[in-house]
Amino acid sequence: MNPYPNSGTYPVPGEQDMMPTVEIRPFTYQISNLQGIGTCERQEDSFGFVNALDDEKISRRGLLAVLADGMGGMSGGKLASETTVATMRGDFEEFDMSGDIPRQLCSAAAKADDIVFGQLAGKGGSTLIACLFYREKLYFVSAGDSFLYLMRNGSLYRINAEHNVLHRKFEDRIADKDISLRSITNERENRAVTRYIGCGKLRDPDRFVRPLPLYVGDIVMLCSDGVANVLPPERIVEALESPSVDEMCRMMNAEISDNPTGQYRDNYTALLIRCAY
Amino acid sequence: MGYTTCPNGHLYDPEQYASCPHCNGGSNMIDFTGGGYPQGTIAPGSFGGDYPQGTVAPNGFGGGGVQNEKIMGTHADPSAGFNPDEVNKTVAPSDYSGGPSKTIAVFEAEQGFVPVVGWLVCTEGNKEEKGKSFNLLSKRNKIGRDRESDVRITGDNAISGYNASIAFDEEECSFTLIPSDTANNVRINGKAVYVPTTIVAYDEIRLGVTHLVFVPFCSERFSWGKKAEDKV
Repeated sequence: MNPYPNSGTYPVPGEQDMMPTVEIRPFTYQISNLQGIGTCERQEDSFGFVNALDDEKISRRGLLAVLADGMGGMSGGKLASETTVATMRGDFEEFDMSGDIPRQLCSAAAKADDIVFGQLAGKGGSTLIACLFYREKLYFVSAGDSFLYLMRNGSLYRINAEHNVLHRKFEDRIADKDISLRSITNERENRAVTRYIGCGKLRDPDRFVRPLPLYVGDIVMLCSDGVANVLPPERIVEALESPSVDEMCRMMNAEISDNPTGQYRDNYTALLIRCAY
Repeated sequence: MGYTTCPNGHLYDPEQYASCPHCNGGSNMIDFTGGGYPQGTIAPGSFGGDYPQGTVAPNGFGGGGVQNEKIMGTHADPSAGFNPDEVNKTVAPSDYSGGPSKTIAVFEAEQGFVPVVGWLVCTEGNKEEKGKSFNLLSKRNKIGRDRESDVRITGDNAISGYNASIAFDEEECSFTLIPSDTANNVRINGKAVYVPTTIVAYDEIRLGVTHLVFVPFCSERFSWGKKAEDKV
């Protein structure tokens, strides 16, 4: 027996000879993706969906969205990000949806880490954000400095932890009761990622242990730092208030591309999923 | 008419592109304003105009809600990671070969290696540290609880993340302890020090409740620099 049928009618307590029914409408997901090369020579971001256009599969196995940002300046950045996305998508097809989904997401991330490390011997890597939308709940796993945002009721929330030297220093300083953050915010090393796919020892990616219930109107955005480090939060909110996911992508792309001549712009990628009926 | 997905899981409009534009290097932005384009992305079965209006914050979005309350996660300052004037690439860890060049010690620059020049031996303190020795290298050695410390002391919360450093001067063959700007004092042989202070063999350095005895390797009897010159 399926305890959570995704559609159907149910009797509502009432008069026996009058049995009003309530139709339960399942979620649908409005999806869009945005990607640009910036001023770089090549695109090292990768992304992919699974079941994006298959209503039946989404209800049975969920919708997977994966984004990976290959390490800029490293050889194999593109290979690392493509391998990361392909591994997550491939492993997802074998998930036991009645089992421990967070554990399976972490295992897939660890497998991608092993594969990329084997390919590049530590000389390349990638960030990872993988989101699974299943039974109107959100699961995720992440490593690195890409961004996972939730926009709900007009407010923007950063969900995933940022795995870089700057935030490790924040943690150490806070534990030390030293909150003079300004003294550590301008160092070059701060941007170095501390957890990523391809390090060969990824043991503790960020994740939800319990999934986050989703509501109609929620917008989930996965994006690389080429988006989030260019658009301030207010501009992202403004874009996500657009009436359609396509318009959201259009607005963000226009802002990111509005690039003064000669100014460096990183690769940028964003995946948008809005919950609707 | 509607979106399709390529084998790599990218969404695109087949009426706009003969093949997936993202698989071609990601240099193209899908043009959502193309002729004949329906409103919105075509969802499986129900994408299109039936979705509710996008949520609108009351009075639009001011800086207060977004900046001070609504951004959660690990940003202490929501704008800390945002600087459009900075080169904003994801950066590999600094020990990547071919990665960003890092500052290296003079000795390493000249001789190609960073040798041990002395030790600190823990004689009192946390049971995990007591009895251990810590190498001091031919550079400024940071001492503290931080993961990045050259001499990392754990288990003693009275030690700061970066509590002090010991610098070795090859030319003068001298060791200097430099307290950092922290609330936790450093003592040499029981006396608190606040300025760079020369240390000699068997001086006891106290940080928090941890006692470290300094033992130099480089001295009048041995110098790495002299050793290197002998080989030239």
